[in-house]
Amino acid sequence: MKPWDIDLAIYEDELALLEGLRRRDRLACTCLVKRFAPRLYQLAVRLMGDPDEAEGVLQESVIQACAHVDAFQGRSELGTWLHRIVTNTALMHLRRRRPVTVDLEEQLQRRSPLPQALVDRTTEPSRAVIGAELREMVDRAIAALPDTLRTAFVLREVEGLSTKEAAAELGISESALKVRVHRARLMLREALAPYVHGEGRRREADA
Amino acid sequence: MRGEHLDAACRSWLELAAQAREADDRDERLAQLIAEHLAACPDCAASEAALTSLIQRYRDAAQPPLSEQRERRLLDLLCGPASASLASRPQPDR
Ligand SMILES: [Zn+2]
Repeated sequence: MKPWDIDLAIYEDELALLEGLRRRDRLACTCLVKRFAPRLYQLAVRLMGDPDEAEGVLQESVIQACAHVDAFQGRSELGTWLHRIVTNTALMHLRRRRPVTVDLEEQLQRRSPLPQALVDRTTEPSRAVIGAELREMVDRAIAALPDTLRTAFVLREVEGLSTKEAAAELGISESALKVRVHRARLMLREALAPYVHGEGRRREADA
Repeated sequence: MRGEHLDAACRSWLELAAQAREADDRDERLAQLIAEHLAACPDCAASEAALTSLIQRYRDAAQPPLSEQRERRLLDLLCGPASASLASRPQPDR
């Protein structure tokens, strides 16, 4: 048994969990981590494009959330509130990290060619299944996008926020968001060309 | 579907998109121009549809879990090593 193998059912109810967090209850903190951290970590990895930096973002976000839990109004769901904290923290880290580059040519040249052998040829029964290698390739292609394009793309296309919501989270206009998403998609089309064409063949075969 | 799309015409769109500096008054027009091109160009439309399908499958895919190490570091940070007090046995040395 691990130190945190505990009964998570105690805080299954979100209001009870919030109460526990306000009391600074250790068990409540553990429940928060158990329930939300995996999902928030994924978001951080996708926004930062780096697992170690994502861990720092996750840590800072959860500490912030626990410290400011009194400020949580309960107007949105706890998960949505945490999502916003992680996004904001990631953006802060990205701004600090390095000057933003949107030089497409440089990005395309930096990109290492994709090994053809890794093209996903699995004939999985469900379209919902994605090969591990393919997922890794998409992860890498997203990570290689310039920060401004990656954050726009991840929020809009991966996290599924509306244009309005994603633009608000990034503090840019909706048209700026649309342009960033277009740019990201164009770069991904190039970077993932073998997979995109595989996907085209898959669609043709399905038709 | 051609094996290698992104011909000269489409590439010029990439370059335009890359060179354009963000400015609210131009963004709307640029977004519209790109969308118009994607709709009018059969190659781009096919690539876009294929990319959408790929990204959809990527979204639906199970993600690798948060590793136990990272989870433990987070818990230690939040609750302090005292989280061991919840344990039925002591934490291993680190
Ligand atoms: Zn085109």
